[in-house]
Amino acid sequence: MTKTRGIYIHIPFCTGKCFYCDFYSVRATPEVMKEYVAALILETRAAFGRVSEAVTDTVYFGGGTPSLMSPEDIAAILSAVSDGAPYAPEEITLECNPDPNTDFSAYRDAGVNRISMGVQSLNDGVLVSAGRRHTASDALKAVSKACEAFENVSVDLMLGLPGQSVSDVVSDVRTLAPSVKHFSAYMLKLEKGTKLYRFVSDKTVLLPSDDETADMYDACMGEMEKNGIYRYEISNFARDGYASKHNLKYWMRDEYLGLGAAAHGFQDGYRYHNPSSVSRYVSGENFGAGRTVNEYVSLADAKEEAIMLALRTDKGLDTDRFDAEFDADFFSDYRDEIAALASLTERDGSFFRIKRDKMLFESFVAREFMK
Amino acid sequence: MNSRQSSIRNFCIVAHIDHGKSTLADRLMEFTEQVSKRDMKEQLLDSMDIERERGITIKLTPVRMFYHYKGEEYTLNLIDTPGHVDFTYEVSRSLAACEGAILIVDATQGIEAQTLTNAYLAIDNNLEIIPVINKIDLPSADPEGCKKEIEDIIGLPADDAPLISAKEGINIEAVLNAVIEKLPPPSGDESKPLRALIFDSTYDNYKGAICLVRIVDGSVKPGTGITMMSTGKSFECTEVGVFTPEMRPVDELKAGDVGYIAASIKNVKDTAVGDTVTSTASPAPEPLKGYKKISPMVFAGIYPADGSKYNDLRDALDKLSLNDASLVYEPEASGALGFGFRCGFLGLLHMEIIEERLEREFDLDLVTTAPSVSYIVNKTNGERLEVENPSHLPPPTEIESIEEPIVKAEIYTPPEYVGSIMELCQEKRGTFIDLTYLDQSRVKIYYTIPLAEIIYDFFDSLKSRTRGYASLEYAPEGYRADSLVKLDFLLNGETCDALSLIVHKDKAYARGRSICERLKDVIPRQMFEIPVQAAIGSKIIARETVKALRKDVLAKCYGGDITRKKKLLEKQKEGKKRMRQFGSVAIPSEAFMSILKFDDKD
Repeated sequence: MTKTRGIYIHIPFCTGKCFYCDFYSVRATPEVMKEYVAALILETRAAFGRVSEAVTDTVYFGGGTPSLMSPEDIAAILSAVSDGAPYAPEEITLECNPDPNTDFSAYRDAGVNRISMGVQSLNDGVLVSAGRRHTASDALKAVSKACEAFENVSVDLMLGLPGQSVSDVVSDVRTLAPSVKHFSAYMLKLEKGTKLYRFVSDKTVLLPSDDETADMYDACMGEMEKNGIYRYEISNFARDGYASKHNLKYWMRDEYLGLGAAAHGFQDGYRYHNPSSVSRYVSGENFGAGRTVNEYVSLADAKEEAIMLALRTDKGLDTDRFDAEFDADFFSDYRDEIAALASLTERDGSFFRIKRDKMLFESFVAREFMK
Repeated sequence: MNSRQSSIRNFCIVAHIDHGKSTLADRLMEFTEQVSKRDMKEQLLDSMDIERERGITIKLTPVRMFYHYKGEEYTLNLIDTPGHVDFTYEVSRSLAACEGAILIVDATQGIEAQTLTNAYLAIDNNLEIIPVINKIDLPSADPEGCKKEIEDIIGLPADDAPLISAKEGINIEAVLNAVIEKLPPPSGDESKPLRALIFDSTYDNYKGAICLVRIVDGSVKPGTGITMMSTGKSFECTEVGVFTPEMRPVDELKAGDVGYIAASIKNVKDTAVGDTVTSTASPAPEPLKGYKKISPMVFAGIYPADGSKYNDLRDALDKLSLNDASLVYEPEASGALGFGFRCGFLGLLHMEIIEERLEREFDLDLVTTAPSVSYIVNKTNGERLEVENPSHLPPPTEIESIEEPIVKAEIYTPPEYVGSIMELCQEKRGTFIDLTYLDQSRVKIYYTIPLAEIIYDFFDSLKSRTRGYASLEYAPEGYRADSLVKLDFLLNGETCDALSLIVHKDKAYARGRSICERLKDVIPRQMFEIPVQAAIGSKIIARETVKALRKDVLAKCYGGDITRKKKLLEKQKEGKKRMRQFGSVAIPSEAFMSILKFDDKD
């Protein structure tokens, strides 16, 4: 069987910083973006020369705000990707901010076949307090326009934003579900160094409690199910056949090449990331898989990863695959851990998974398997 | 007395905290060129980091200086002493090694609580006292008022007391001259058998346990066989020396000298403070009058945060006790905290300092239980028990009565705070004894108060109610029976022994409630609901609930950043390890300290 590979391309540009975001992003001039595309194309070529052979079957433009790049730029990058290695694309995703002026069909013509739209919420008050730079009406227009050009549209929602309520979340899902094939719903994680962190620390902003956020999650999942959209991973929900192939690679520990400043990759047993600096990246000196951090994942770590990642999915860990890959006997090797987790986990044939209603204890379960 | 002895002066400096003791010691050394100005660190004798940071002296430190006066060379041995009430015992030890004391009075503050205590200590030890008035450079200095206070309150002539500024180096010479003129040289007989008083001990990795001594009679040099008179254990002296303030070997120590003796002594317990060192070959018939062993006032359990570090903690306590004879400890086991030690301290500051030293110097993470006092329990069967750990209290049915230690508290304050201080003392179950006006601006209030009330937050409350103006001094005043009960805390239905307290019956409800509330806040939510209850015997008096955890999950792996996710999980796992597993409940170390924090409502 030929090996397949995903490609993640990081576009670290934003027009502003959302209050909760601690990811690397910068504001950039058209000139810098142009240089960035050129550097990406160079890195793509260089990267293919370094890694083992595999067929590229998914490409994911993540950000930042990849939709700040022109369709021409996206086409140019994709052509470098398709030239560099055997190319049989099944899923090519572009993350977008909700902007009704986006020319979605041009991106479709550039080769993109899936849109992931960062809607986050359809409550304008919530959007403002999260530092988003669009309105609910922008989002609805953008989603509907994207749906005209794309069959496969996903929407990102956030849970636990300041001022958000359970009914907000339910109504957001109810409004959007008929148009989309996929949702990602992320519970807010307050990160140090963000504006939101400061607001919360000095008490100018009050976050929903953990319990309220858990209620939002339950309500959100319930509403999606009513609309035929089912969870396949803690934060990801899809209609049948629309689970993100690219994202699944993360949970399955399949290989993915990370390209661009601050991109992460997993290749030939190594996890690496690129420098979080556009200027160093475009200077050409320091970009490229593994010039910054490149760590070989030891056998013990690989096993931990395999368990912790697979348990995020509803299907759970394929223990046959685990046993074959690591020459192990999962159910006997982890007898004690499994016993300790009896109330949270279950076995289904050769699969080991977190019980459906216990998924929010994923970290608790994962820690049990860590040394 | 020979001429060698007549040129020696052994003295210490006593003062209220902050009146400039360490600064004057620095100036004296500088003036006698023991330490050149450029090598001068602030407060040279305070060698511990904690001492410098907090600006206090904890350990006593001796130093030898030379000074020329009227054509003669004099040897001056200065023993620096701690100023805080917790360390009165250490002060009394250094006094026993001296013939005289410099009593510093701050010209802006006048006589304070510790000035008096230390002055009386010195007088009790038959020391000659030289009053010195410091900080005369400050605009608010009132040297004449100070002199009057010294004469009126202490009863010492203060007319020719040197007026100095240790900080500015003003009139330091006058102090040295007074030391030589007014203090007697040491008596004692070089030809008699050796008698050396151990006033402190310290530990050196190469030399072993070292005795800091005042040679009273006879002499000692390397090769002398020495015997500790209390234990009869003998050693061969390997080195004698003086403090400059670093240890510097000399050929011989003779009667009147202050210095150290090293004799490859392995165990610091063999260098008991207060013991007399004599010569093995010709032992003295009688030991010197030692000090009575001080008993600790405050007790707390100290446990390693990581249970596997028990041995490290034991080693650290062994080492600390080498040069802190007042620290007592014995192993104890707690259902909640595992194996650790019940430690006795001179007071709360002492406890804080020991904790800090254990954590800093030995890199330990500790869990400390709420401080307690030592209770006397009269059982129904006539037995009398001493209980230092509240969880060791017998069942209520076997208790006839409980007695608690009482202290006589002297509070010095400007008159405007008298009302609020008396109110505080009443709240703290104090009994009014007396109130006297020392002068127009100072009042002395006497109360007897249970020690247990003092060690909670009395001092902080006093300071906050008097804007820092009042000072507190206390001394043990025996035991008194009161309606005391044991307050237990149950987590998930099980009594957590490390949280138990002994409190007055009337305060039990309020305290139980407030501690339950606090525990609810510090105990992290777990997979199940945890009831937190306060109980007296089998009667539950307060309850709170730590609700079950709803989620324990990490957000998505943005762009496939698995490493970051793994690190987060590892950090969480590390955090869990630092919690104490009590039955099925994980308790963070802060929980044990949280019951210490009382607010004024209690």
